[in-house]
Amino acid sequence: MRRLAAQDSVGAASLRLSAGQACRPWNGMPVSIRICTCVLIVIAAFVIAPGLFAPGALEQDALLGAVPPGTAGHPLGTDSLGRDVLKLLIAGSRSAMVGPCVIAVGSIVIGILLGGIAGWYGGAADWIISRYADITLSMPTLLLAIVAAGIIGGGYWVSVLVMVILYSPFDIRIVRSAVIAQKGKPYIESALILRLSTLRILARHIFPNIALVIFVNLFLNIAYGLVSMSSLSYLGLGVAPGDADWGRQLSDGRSILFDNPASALCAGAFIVVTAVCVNAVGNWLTERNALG
Amino acid sequence: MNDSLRYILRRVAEFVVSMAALAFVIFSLLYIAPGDPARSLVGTKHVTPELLAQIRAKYGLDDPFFVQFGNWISGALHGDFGESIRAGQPVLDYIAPHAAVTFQLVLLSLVLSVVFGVFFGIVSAKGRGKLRDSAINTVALVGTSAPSFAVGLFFLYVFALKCGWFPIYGIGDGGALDQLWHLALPAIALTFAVSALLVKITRSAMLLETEKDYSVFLRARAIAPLRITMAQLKNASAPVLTSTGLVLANLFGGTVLVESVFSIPGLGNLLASSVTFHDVPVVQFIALMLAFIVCFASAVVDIAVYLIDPTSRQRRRLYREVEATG
Amino acid sequence: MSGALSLSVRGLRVRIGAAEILKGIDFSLDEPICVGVVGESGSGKTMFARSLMGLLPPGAVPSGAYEVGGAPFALDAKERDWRRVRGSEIGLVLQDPFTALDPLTKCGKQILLGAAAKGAVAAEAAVAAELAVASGTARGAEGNTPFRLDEALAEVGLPASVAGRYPFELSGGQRQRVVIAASLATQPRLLIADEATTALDVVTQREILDLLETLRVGRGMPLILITHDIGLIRERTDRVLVLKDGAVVEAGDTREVTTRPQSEYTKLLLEADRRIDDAAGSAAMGSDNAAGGRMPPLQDPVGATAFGRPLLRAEGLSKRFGAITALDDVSIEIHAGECVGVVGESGSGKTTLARCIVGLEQPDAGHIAFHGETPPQIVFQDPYSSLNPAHTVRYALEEALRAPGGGLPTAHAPTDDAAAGGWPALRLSAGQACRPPSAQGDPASTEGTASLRELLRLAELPEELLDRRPAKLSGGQRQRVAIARALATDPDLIVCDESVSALDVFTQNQILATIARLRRERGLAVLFITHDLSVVRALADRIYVMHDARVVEEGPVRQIFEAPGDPYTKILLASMTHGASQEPER
Repeated sequence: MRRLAAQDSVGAASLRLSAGQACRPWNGMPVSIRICTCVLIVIAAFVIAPGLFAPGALEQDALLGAVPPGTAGHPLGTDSLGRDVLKLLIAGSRSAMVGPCVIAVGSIVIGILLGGIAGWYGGAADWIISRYADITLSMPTLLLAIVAAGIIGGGYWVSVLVMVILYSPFDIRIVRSAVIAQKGKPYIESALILRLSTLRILARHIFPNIALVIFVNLFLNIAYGLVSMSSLSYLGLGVAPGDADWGRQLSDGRSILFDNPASALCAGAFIVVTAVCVNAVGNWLTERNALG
Repeated sequence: MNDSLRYILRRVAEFVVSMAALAFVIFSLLYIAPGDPARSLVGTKHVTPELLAQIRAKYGLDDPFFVQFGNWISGALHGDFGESIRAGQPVLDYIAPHAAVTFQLVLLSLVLSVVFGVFFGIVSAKGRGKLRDSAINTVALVGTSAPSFAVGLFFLYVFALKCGWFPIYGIGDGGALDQLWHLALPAIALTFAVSALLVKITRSAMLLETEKDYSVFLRARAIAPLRITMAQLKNASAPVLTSTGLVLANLFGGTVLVESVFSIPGLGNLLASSVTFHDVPVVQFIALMLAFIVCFASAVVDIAVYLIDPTSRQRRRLYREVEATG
Repeated sequence: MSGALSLSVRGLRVRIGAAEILKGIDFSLDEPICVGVVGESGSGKTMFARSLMGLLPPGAVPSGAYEVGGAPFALDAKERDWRRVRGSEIGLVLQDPFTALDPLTKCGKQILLGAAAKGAVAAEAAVAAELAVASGTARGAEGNTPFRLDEALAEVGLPASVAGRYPFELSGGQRQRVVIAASLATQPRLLIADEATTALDVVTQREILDLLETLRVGRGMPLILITHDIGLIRERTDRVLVLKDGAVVEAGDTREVTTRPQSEYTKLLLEADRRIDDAAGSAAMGSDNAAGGRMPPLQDPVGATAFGRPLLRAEGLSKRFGAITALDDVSIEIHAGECVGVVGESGSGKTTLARCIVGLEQPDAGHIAFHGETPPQIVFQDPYSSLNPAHTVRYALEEALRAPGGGLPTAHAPTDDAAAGGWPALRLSAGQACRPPSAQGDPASTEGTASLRELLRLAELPEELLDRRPAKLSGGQRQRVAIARALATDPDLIVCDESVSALDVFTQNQILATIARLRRERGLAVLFITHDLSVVRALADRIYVMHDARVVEEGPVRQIFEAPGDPYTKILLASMTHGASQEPER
C-alpha cells in the first residue's frame, strides 16, 4: 500500500487534469454560462458570509409591519414582522444552499460506494444493490420526504439525511453503469491480465475515467436538492419559523401578497434563478463532456 | 409468450415487494415518530392516566411493533384504515372528497404534461440547433429548475391577482365547470414544473432515433416527414413512457405544494396539515395510497414498454450473442 | 420513367467545422454500369455517397456543382427539395441490414411506404395493404395499382410471407434483401450500395452482390458500389474511384487501375489484397510477388516439432453464453516461439478462445495447461480503447513493469499449478494483491528506466511519446504502446486479438513487421486471432480455422492455403480471393 501512496503523484496529476478540464476554460464558455457562473459565485459569497452582506437580517420592526418595495431603507420592502426582505434573502442563502450541497455530496458518496461495488463485482451484490435502487427509485421522493421530515420532526439535518437516502439510488445507478461501461474496456481487461490489484484498478484506472460523470452529476444533484429542500421548507418542514430561508420566506410572504408581493416573489425568483444557473452550468458541462 | 409472461410476473412481483417495503417504511416512520399517539387521540382535553391506558388498549398501541404492523396491514387489505384522529371519521370517508379534487388536478396536469411535453420535445428535436430548439430548451431548463410552488405563486400573482383572469383560491362551489376553472391555473403551474422533464427526454430520445440508420434510410426513400416522425416516435416510446411514470410521481409530489399555494382542499393540503397535526392514520393512508398509485403506474408503464416492442425477447438474445462474440 | 440516370458532380467538398472531409471530388456517371468507390475507413467514401443524396450528418457543409438528370441541383438544398432526388432518382442501400430497417414495423409495410411516397400506390391503398399485411395476406395493394408487394419481394428473391414479418425475425441476408426491395419500391434510376455486404457472412455477401448485379442489368440502373474491399472492386465494377483522406487518388477503368495502378496507395491496396491471392496459389495475378517484398514471404511449412517445448495446450474447451455456443470442444496447442493463427468469421468463437487463454473467461469444460513463466498477455483490436485515456504512456508502461512478474526476467519457477489447470484465475470477486517487488528493488531506479527504454525499443516507439496521453497518439502508435505494455512482464506468449484489423494497410504492415521481429529477437510465441487471411499468411506458422464454435481444420500455413481439406476452409479462401477464383460475369 505504501507503494500505492508513492505513486499517488502520477494519479493525482491525471485526476487534477480531468477536474481541471471541467473548471478551467472560462474562454470557451458561452456568455449565458458565464453569467450563470457569476450568479453562483455571488450566491456562494452570500452563503459563506451572510453577516457581511446582510447584517442584522433577522431584526424585526413590528411597528413597521409589511411595507411594499421602495420604502426608504428597504428596497424590497419588509415582511409582516418588519424584517427587510433583501437582507432576509441574502441571509436565507445559507439555509437554502448548504443542505442541497450536503445532499449532493452525501448521495454521490453512497453512489460511488454502492454503485462501484455493484458495477465491479456484479453477481449477488449487484442484484441486491440494484433491487434496492429500483425500489427506492419507484417511490415518490418528495412525498416520502414530506412524511418523513414532517413526522420525525427533527428539523433541517433530518430532512437533509432523508434526502440523501432518497437521492442516492440515482447516483448508485449512474456510477454502476459507468463502472460497468469501463469494466468491459480493453484497457481495464489489460490491467486485469497484468494482475494489478483490484483496488489499484478501481482507483487508478476506473475512477479517473468516471470522475467527470460524477462531478457533473454532483452539480445536477445540487439543483434538485435546492428544489426539494425549498419545497420542504415551504411547507414549514426543516426550518424553524422565523429562520431566514427562501422556501419559508415564500410561504410567509404568500399571506402578505397584497401588502408586499416582493417578499414571496423575490424568494421564488432566488430559488428559480439559482436552480437555473446550477442546472445550466451542469448541462453545459455534460454537453462539453459528451463532445470532448 | 412464455418470456413475456415471465417478465410480467417478475414486474408484478417487484411491484408487490416495493409496496410491502413502502408500507413498512411508512408504518415504521410513523411508529418512531415522537409524541404519544394516545395523547394526540384525545386532543387537548385533560384526561386521567387510566383513560389514556384505556385508549392505548383500544387502539392496540401497547402491542409489539410487528403485531401493530400486522394489524394495520390486515386492516388495510380489508379496506379498514382506521379513524382520523382529527375528524373522528373513518379515514376513507374523510379522505374521499379531498381525493376527488386531487385526482382531477393530477389527471388534468398529466394530460397537459404529456401533450405539451411530447409535442415540444418533438418540435425541439426536429428543429435541432435552430431558434425554436434553444427557446424550448431554455423554457424547459427553467421548468426543471423551478419548484412547483414558486411557479404556482408567480402564476397566482400575475394571472389571478394582477390580470384577474383566474380565481385566486379554492375550488369554487358552482359545479364541474367552475371547478375546472378553479383548477386550471394550478394545473398549468404543475404542468410547467413537471412537463419539462418530458420535453428533455422526448427530445433526446427523438434525436437518438433521428441518427439511427433506419431514419436515414426512411429519408433516403423520400418518405413523408410526418410518417418518419411517427416511426421515430414509436421507437422512442420506451424512454418517453418510462418518464411519463416519473412525471406522475412528480405530479403527486408537486400537488402537495401547489394545493397549498392555491388553497385547494385536496389530498396534498390534507397531508401537509395532517402531518403537522400528527393525524397518523390519515398520513399513513394518503402516503400509502399515493405510493401505490405511483408504483402501480410505473409497473404498468414498464410492462407496456415491454409489450410494445416485438423485439424485446429477440433483442435480449442478440445482446447475449454480442457478448458471446465480443 | 426508367432508364439510367445521368449524374455528375464537380469539385465536391464537404467540411465539418474546420476540417475538410472531402477535398474536391469530380465524378460523373451516365450509363448503367457499376462504378466502385474504394477507400479505407475515414477516406470519406460514405460522406461522398451521402452528399449525393443530401443525407450528410448535421453540421456537414457541402459545396460543388451537382447535376442530377441533366439539371443542376444545389448540394445544400433544403430537406424538402432533396425529396425530389431521393428515392425516385437515387436509391440507397446501407451497410448494416440490422439497423437499416425500422425494428417496430413489419417488412411489407416498410417496402410499401416507399411505393406510397413514390405515388405508385395511393396512400389509401397503402393503408389497405398495411391491413392486408397485418392480417397475414401479405399481398400488396390489389387491383389497379401498379405496385405489387409479392412481386417486389420476388424480385429480390424473397417469399411473399416475408411481408408479414418483423425485421428481427429475418436473417442478415434476408434483411438486406428487404432493404433492397424497399429501395427499389421508389423506382430509383440509380442505386448506391454503401458497404452493402460488409456486415454479412461471405456466402451471403456473394448472393447479395449477384442480386445487385442482376438488378443493375435488368433495370438498366447504374450502380455505385462503395466499399473498402478492392478485391470486390476488381471483381464487380467497370470503373473505379480510389479515395484517400477525402481526395481522389486514382480514377478510371477498373481493369486499367487494378492491373496498372499509378499511385502508390492503389498499389498498396492491391498488394494487401494480393497477399491472399498468392496464398491461394492462384496464378491469375502473378504469384511471383513482384509487387512488393514488403511483406514477409510465405512461411516455410514447419512441423510443430521444429519448435521448442509445448508452451500451451488447451483441450476440449467449451463455452456457452446463454443459448449461444461460443466454443465447442476446441483444442489447440502452441509451442514456444511459434506463431499460431486462428482464423474465422465474426461469431466463429475465435475471440472467446483468446479470452479463455488469457483468463478473461473461464471455459465451461476443458482445461488449459500453460508452461510459461508469466501468464500470456493480450493486444486487443481497437487502438482507441486499448489504452486508458487518463494515463500517459510512461504511466501505463511503468505500471506494467511493476505488475506482478513485470520488469526484468523473473526468477520464479514455472508453477505446477499452471500445468495442472492454468495459473491463478483472474478474479473480479476478490482483491488480488500486487506482488511486492521485493526482488526488483525500487521501480523508479535506473534499472526501471532501463527497462522502460528497452520496452520502447522493442515496440519501436520514439521516447518523446512517453509523456503523451493516448488522445495524442495515432492508431498505430497506440497499438505499439499496447504491445510494449504486453511485453513488460516478459511473457512467453502474446495473444493478438485482431490487433491490426482496425489499422490502415500501411500501419498494418509495419506492426506485423514489428511482431515478426519480436518473435525472432525474443523467441516470443504469438497466438494471432484474425478474420484476415492475409495477416495470418504473413505471420503464422500454423493455422486453426474456426467455424461455428469449432475448429474445422488445422495445419501448417502452406498446407491450409494450398490444399484446404475442409469445405468451409475452401469457401473462406475462395470468398477472400475474388479476382483470382472467379471472373466477373460480364
